[in-house]
Amino acid sequence: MWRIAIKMLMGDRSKYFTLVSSLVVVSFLFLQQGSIFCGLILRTARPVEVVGAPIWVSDPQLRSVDESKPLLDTDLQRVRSVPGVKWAVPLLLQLVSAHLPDGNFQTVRLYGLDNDTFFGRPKMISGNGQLLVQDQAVVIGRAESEKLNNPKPGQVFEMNDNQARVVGIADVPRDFFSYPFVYASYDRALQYAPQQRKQLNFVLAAPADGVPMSEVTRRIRATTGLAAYTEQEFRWLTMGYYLKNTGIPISIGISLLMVFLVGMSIVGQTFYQFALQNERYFGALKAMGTSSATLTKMILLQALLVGLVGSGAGAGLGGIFGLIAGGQDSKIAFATPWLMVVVSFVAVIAICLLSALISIRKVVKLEPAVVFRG
Amino acid sequence: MTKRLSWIIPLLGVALIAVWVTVSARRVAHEKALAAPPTAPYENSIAATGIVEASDRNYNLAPPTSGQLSALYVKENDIVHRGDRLYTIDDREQRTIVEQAEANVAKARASVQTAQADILTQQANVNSAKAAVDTTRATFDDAAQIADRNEGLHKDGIVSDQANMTSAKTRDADDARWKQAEAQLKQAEAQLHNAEASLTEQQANLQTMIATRDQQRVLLDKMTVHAPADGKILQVNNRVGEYLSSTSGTSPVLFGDTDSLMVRVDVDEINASHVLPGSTAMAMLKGDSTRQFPMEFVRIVPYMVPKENLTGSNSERVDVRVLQMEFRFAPPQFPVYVGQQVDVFIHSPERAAK
Repeated sequence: MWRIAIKMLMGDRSKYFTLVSSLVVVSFLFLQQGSIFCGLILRTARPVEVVGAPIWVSDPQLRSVDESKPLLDTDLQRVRSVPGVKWAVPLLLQLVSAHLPDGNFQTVRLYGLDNDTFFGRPKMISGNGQLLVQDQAVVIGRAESEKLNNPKPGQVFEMNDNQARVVGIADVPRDFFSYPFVYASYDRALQYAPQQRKQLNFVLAAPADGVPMSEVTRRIRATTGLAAYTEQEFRWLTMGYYLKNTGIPISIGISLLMVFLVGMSIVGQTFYQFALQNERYFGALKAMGTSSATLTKMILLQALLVGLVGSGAGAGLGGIFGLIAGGQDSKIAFATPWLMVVVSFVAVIAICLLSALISIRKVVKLEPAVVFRG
Repeated sequence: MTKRLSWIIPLLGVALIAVWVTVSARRVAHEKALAAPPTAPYENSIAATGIVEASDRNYNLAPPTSGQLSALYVKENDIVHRGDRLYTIDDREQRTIVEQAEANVAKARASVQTAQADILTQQANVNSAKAAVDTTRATFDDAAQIADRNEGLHKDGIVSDQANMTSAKTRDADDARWKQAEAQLKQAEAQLHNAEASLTEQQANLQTMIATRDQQRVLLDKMTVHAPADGKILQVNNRVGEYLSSTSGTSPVLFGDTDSLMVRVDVDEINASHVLPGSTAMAMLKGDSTRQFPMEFVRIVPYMVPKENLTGSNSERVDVRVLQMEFRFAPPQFPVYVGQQVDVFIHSPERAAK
């Protein structure tokens, strides 16, 4: 019986192709829109990921990594004093205006790394990151560096009327705001950042051996009254902020819904036509005594089959798109977590099954006598 | 054909998306930290920052007055003893003032001597006047005797009128001379008193001049700054010829006893109640936390001060107060310098995890 269903499906190549290709498009669109959504939102957490700290300590009112609610200098010592904290280092993270040699201004994301350890240094592509210990030395991230006129090691620009000399280019992916990343030592960054009463934005910490991360963050919160997050928590805090406070979820949600509806209408129509064309065969089968339940199962199998083929191929297209156009250095924010693949697969299968319902209704109501009609 | 493609294409698609998912899940790569961050050596501790100081603090030897630095007798690392000269402010002006004062003293001394000589002269005058009085009185006595005798003899008619009158006149003249001599004696005595008073005045003047000279000498002496104790020269900030202001904060020479060093530790005001007197502590050099040394408690400074920014700010910002603690330590194997920053962990067993 299954064999008949498959034959019926693939017998008419052009129909089969139409059905599968429409599903490929739907699947690809769904995956593509979803990946752009994920890409945009994941990029908001980039400023957290590039540091790679196990624990972030910040002002309790802070809502995302992009906000600046500085701490007291002594808060670093207070975090260091919390039992279970292995070490703690300061981090300055501010948006500052860079003045380029050609006269242009460009906002950059300035990282002031701990003077002694330089914890949070990104992987270097060219130049020497250890030169950050030198006076006026900065490392810039590769992504968005074209906004700083693609400086090479040795070139200079200004921040806050202080000269900065590029000593290296680091492998830093693009972030949501498309600001170039600039790294300097903490003391140097204090010179580059506009002066405020308090300048220390974050304290980065690590748990002592054998103490669970959640216990350490709880202790930091309880002892210092500051907020403490694990890296994942802080990423989600930031992503949550942008989910809640930007139009991204609603805009992309609407386009996903459109894809879903359009996909359903196309696939539903094709299915209906398919059922209409195969009415005769279904009628014959019915006349031969095949039960409606079996026929339903046959149609569901067909729907499932085209769904699998279509979503597989669509996913492949998505993969190709990602591999060609996506990537962390691409201007297109495109990222596909496993969950996104699963969601788009489920959505495509749901479209198929829902569309199949129309044909099922048709077939169940079918009179076997239809076989004998013209 | 269709059937085979229906297998191959979706499987290929799944493979492609799997590759992409793996690629897009790539985490940002990091370089290793240049140095290990300082880690607490105790289970419960209070972290703080500290600065190495010479024991009993560092001496900031500011100049007593403003002026040009004219001589510098020491350089960095010199070992000096209490009382050794360190540097001199240009003292030429003061030196002339002292010379002037010395000349004034000499002048006053000469005036005293003159006054003393004057007294001697006046005493001689008095003596001479006294002698004159005696002489005139004797002459008068003689004349009076002669006059008395001549008068008696004249009454008896033995002596002529002429002789009587002459002797009486002589007597009167001698009387006048005697009186004059006595007046001259009084005058000479008054002059002697005068001279004595003048001597007292000149002596007082001499004392004043000596005091003035001594004062100016002290001022001159103060222009050379001496070591207040035994120790080592830690820093020489100025060069000969530079102008020093007595009000400015930086001193030309920073000096301290480096035989035993100590660490001044700033404890955040919120943590201040958790540190106890007598705590042990561990210090780690900034930038190399493997270089650490244990420290012994010396004292807690009972007055909390506004935090000085040791972490290198672009201007001073007072936003929190700190409790200062002093710790001493035995010199470790590696060099530790005065003024070096250290990360400090103070052992505080009471501070269990909340």
